[in-house]
Amino acid sequence: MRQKITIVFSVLLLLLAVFLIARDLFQKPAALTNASCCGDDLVSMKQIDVALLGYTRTRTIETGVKGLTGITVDENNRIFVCGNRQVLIFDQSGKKSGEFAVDSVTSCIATGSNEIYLGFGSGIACYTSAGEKKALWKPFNKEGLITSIAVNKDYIYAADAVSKLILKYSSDGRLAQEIGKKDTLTGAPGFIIPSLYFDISFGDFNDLWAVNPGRLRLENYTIAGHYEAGWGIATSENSGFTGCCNPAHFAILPDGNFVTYEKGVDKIKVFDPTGRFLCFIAGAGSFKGNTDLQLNGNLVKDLAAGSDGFVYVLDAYSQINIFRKKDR
Amino acid sequence: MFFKHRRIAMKNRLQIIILALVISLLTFNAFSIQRFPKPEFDSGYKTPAVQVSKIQPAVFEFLDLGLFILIMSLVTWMVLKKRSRKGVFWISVFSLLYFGFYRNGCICPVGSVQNITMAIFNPGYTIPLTAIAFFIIPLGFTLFFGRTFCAGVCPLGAIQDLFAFRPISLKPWIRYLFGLIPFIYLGLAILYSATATDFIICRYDPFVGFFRHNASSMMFAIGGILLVTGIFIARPYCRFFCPYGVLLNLVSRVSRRHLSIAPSACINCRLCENSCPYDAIDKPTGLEVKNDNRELVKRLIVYWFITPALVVLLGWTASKYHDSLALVNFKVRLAKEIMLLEKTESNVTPPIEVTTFRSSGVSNEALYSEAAAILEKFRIGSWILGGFIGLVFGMTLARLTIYRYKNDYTANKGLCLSCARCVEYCPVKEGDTVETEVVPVPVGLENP
Repeated sequence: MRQKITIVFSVLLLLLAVFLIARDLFQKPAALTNASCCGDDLVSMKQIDVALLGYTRTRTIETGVKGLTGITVDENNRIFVCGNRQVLIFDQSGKKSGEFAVDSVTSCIATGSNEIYLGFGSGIACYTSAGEKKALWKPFNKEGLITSIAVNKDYIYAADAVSKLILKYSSDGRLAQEIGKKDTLTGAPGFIIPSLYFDISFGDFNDLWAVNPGRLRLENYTIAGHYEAGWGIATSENSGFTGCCNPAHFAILPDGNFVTYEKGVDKIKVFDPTGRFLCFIAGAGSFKGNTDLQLNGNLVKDLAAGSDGFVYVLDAYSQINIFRKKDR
Repeated sequence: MFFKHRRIAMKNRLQIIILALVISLLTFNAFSIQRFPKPEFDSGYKTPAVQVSKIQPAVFEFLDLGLFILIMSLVTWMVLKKRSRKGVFWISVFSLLYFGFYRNGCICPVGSVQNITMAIFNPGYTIPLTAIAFFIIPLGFTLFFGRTFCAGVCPLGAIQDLFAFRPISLKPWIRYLFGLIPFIYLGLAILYSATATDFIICRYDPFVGFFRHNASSMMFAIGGILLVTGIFIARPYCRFFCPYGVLLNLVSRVSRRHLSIAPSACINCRLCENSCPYDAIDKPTGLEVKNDNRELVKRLIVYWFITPALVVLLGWTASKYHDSLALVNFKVRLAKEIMLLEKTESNVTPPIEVTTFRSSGVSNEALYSEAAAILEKFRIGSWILGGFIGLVFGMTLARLTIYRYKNDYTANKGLCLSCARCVEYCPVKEGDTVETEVVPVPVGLENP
């Protein structure tokens, strides 16, 4: 009797193995079951409450160039985008007002009074607005990657995601200071950068803001490199940032509010200077509907804020989307 | 008697220790797959630069081949000349550790069936010489010496052998029924590799995940199921799944020097009767059955006519499901998904492969025509597959009617895995002569 039970048990186990293999081999394609590739969890996390959309899209500029990586807006609200070994310049109406080729693949872009600064891998290149190359600065770290550049009237600040430092350069390309090292005396927490996203920008008071993505925070430094304060909490709610390392990009509006983009969940949010969530600007579905939800990669490549209060978003479809605040 | 019991107890203890070692190797690192990106702590630790592993020089492949031939020769010598179960066991432990855990189960004649098929049907596919060698060498050895590859070289067999603690004998009908699975599996594996669809033997290798510490949870589950089942039904994968085993079984039936239970004449002492955990010992037949063969001949004639009908019927049936079989092919599945999405675009989210395909710039029509060509291959292939399965059914039925008179306890050449367990039970020594007349034992007589 015991042997019979053992045989039945063993045979049933064998049948289970056959069933599992057959089911896996012949299971229906994903489309037939209406399942998404990324899992329903991630799709649901990408959803935003449209009632909280505080901005509206006013214009979409088709750049016609694939592989764009960075966007910035100068004080005259001219839009500069870089990538694919070129720089394109657009005016507010969406008309291309200039373009020039550059020597290398660019990762980010910033404008000075008369110059354009480009992240060339580990180095920084300086061009005139007419596209003439002025200088190529020696890399701080040959293995580094410049992911963001911010410029004030005295210095050029570059975020190196590999070195995990903000590098402060004089206008002639000399390294003046390394900012962001962990320092227990001053309370500087040090940058934690698990993936190559490290954005910086200047605030209204000529103070430097930087993402500390591993800590899911935005941190404030003086231009001399002293750590001041920071805000941001880890949460999947609207009030903070989610994932391993976010926000991936940010910009500061003229009113002092922050525009942030979270990769993975593809949410563009607005926070006040104390870190209180105000509204959404866009999310997955805001650009090309369902295609946004299934995009393999990040929906937003970079974003910038203009002096007019508009938000400029360079998306994965090589479009520049201009958003303005909704009228109350 | 006391010493014999002690020896058996020690042997069991040794087997448990080896098993514990193997299990620790199986479970080591099995749950350490990172679900999230690794956290970065501010401990000052610097993540080392990404290392790109060097391609192993070709000489290592030939070294592996040399070692493989050496081990095959050694185990054959152990089985046929030394008749040592202990020797076979230790070689199989070495094979498990080297070919299994160290070489990650990559030296695999079981999967090489697919490489050979792919090379035959796809001229663009270049098959490595070592893959051909790993396919042919075990078959060559089997042709001369029986399934010695299964005995001590195959790591898949070795890992199951360690779990065969309480093997029980299965009813013949269960053995025949489950014995059809490897044929179906082989047919499917050939169909999918001939159409360049997938290498399903590798995909559903239940133990390679243990060797590499890397498999889907489903494959770990299937591996676990087979190991647990293997406690009672010895080597379930080898007997009821292994497609390469089908070829070895067929070749082994005509092997010239197969393992014999008794080194000289069998004395019908019946000590070996229940020694085989794989039910691969043919018992002596009864005389009365030998004389009553008229009914069997009648049934054989019936099956002789039924078999072609089964071939056509199952070939036709399988061909009706060729599009379902073809859904395993990525291009066919993609074409089907896109067709479905075109009908229901508004409310269905496209899967990532559809989005990727759309961004490639290839037109839907080009994909559809490619998928149609693959479907045609599957239509023909499924006819052949169905016919093959029908033939196997027919031959299995016909085999039941073939009666071979046997006077001795003999190893079934096809099913015997040459593990040499039975030889330990045989009291006959080489050169012994039998003085008494051998009396056939009636069928069904159990041990007292």
